[in-house]
Amino acid sequence: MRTSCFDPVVMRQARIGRSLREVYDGVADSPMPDQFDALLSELDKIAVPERR
Amino acid sequence: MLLWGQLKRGEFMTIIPDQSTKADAAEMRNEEAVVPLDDATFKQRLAATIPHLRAFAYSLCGKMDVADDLVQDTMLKAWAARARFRPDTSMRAWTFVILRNCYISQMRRNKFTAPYDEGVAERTLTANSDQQAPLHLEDVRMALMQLGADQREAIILVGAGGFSYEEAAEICDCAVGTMKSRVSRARAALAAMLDGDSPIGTRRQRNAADEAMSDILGTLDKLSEGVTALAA
Repeated sequence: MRTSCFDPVVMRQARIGRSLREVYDGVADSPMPDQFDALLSELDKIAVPERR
Repeated sequence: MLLWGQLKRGEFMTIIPDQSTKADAAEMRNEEAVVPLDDATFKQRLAATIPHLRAFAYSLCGKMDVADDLVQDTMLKAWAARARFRPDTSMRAWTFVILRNCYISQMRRNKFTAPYDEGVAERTLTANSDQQAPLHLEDVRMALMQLGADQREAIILVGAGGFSYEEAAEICDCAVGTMKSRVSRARAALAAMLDGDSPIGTRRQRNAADEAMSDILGTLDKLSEGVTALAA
């Protein structure tokens, strides 16, 4: 019977989870292309709102 | 009568119910009480979601340039539909639903092709024989792309995006049990791929063996150089 809390399966899943977050954060934290700043400043003109 | 399927979606989008029951009418009054965001605040909150949208889009399509186009489409659609956003709900979840719908529409038009490139995989996979060492991110990325789309988005939303099973199920328009099952199967598949039960894992182990052999041969070369020098 296992007595250690360091279950290899749990450790492996934690390692994969950490790597997944790194992959996600790697994209999320990468520099944003200029197209998004331009888009944000142009939004008012670009999209016709379905407004109130 | 308001359908529960519509209500379910109403977590993120404002639903306008009919007035056939008192309960529906009460709900409508509650929704009327929600003051929409002004444009400047909406834009600010939309801008704050861009990094997350990019990460989610990339995990769906596997190509950064395509992901950025997808995010751009999502932002335009979100802006056009801003009157329907409920300020008391999550902007991130709301925009993820829009992005996912954009992705599915584009998939149907066959805009995206096979995201996994075996040639790139062969060139970029690196050795890592230590089971406790951090995984190489390129391996994780490629393993992700090997998963089915349902499992991939499930594991990204819950495992990396920080959404609860309930929120992820809302985003993917499925039952919470289905979401839990997808995440569980995705975890198992990733573990199998990254730890040797699949081509990626096997290659990782083979690369590790190759690297160990190169180290041994390199050491032998150095030793033999020393012997040659002594003999001379």
